[in-house]
Amino acid sequence: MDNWIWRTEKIPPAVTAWLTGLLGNPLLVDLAKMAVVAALLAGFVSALALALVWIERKVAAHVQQRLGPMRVGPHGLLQTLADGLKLMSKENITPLEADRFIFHLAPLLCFAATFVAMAFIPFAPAIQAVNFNVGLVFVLGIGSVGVLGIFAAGWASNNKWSLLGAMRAGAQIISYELSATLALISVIVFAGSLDFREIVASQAAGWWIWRAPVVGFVAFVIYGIASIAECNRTPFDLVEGESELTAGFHTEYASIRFAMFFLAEFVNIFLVCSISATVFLGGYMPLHIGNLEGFNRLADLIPPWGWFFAKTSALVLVFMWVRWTFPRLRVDQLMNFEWKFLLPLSLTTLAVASVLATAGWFFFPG
Amino acid sequence: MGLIGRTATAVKGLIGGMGITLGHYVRFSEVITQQYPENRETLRMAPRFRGKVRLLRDPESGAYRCTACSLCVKACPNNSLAVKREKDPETNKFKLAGYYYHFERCTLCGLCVDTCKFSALAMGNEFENAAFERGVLTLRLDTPDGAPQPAPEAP
Repeated sequence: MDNWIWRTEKIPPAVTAWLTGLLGNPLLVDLAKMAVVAALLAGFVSALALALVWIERKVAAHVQQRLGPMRVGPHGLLQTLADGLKLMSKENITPLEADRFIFHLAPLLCFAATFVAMAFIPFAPAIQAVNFNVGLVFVLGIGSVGVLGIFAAGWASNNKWSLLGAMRAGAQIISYELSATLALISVIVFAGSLDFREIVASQAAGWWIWRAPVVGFVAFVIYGIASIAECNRTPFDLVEGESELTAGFHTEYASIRFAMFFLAEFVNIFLVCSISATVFLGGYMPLHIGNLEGFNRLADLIPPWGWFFAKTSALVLVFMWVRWTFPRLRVDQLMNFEWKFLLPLSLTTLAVASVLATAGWFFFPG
Repeated sequence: MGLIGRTATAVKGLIGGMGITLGHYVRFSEVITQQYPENRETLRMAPRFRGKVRLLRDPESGAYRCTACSLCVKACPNNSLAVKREKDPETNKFKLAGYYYHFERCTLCGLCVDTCKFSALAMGNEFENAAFERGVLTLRLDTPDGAPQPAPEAP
């Protein structure tokens, strides 16, 4: 229990020491650290996207009483890899009238936004690429750059359906970001910090979803709904409503550029789920129940990154479950739901949460 | 119903829907698709699947039920059936002398089965019907062993 699997905060100093011994020059060491972290993140993000696509297809299949991919590898495990290779080998078409520079930039923008945001997620103690005191705000801001990518794609395609899809994406994400942010702030007032590490540390006594009476759960649900909308997933996937807009903003994209939108979309799901897990469900904190010493010890047997991935995966599965259950909303229903229901509700939650937090009326204060 | 009532109804409906999909998701035995080429031996076919037309026998006597009335031939929209009949010298009644089936023309509409008054016809379950020659698709159905035979002599 004292090795690096459970005490991950030992890893970064060890790596630094090893690199210092290897390179000597502190500037070189810093550069090497950046390279290592970037490579690890890139590998993680790619593997994650492949895995998520496979899981999504399997969940969809079983919800619809099918089997899903079964041919490539055991239970179709290598199907996404095969699909990825196929996508890469396809012709990369740019429409004649497209705005070439923006058209080529948009998928990179989309992917870079999710990739950068991943750097702020604390997977385990000290396993976080970048940490600074307003990490949560930064991640929310970077999330909007992804929308910029979608909008750029729709605009540059020079296709009316793409543009309509992109405009819907813009309208939808601007609206739902309000609720998502307000729901997160409702918990931030309890945690008292925008730093991911401190948010997690504040949940050592219990997760905010239940420690903040009622408002914690309400905020969790609001953030769940709003983040599904932010990911442009069913029931809020008007951005790419096939029956109305063929494929929305990525109609004109093929080959690896399409794959980048696709990967960004799936990594985004993981991203919002990990933010939700970190803020509401205690991140990498194990589940501890009061003074049940035996249970707490058992919970400690699972390493912190195990807890983080368990919570995030559970949320991702709920996302997929929701996606394959509900039909798509209409545009006006979408807007009515946000502006007439979700936003007032999240404002109320924030007001109640502020009162509770300042009065100290939550479980295990101090 | 006020806002809270409507919200409660909506949430109830959404949770009910999620319950249904969760039920499908966790019960793997409910899967209805099949892994076709691998499970040819154990393939489950739907009873109402419309494959090749086949003639039915009377379970007691073992003889084909067909009375050669030719109603199916008249019902067939694209002339894929042909019935040859001859008079039985003893009973002086018509009986079946050859039931021919032009599968290459058949659209599997099932009108022949619907018209048959003697329940002598049924749609089969075979679906691997591809052939390299047109000729092998012209079949005689009233063979002694019940397996359709290519019949180049068909009218």
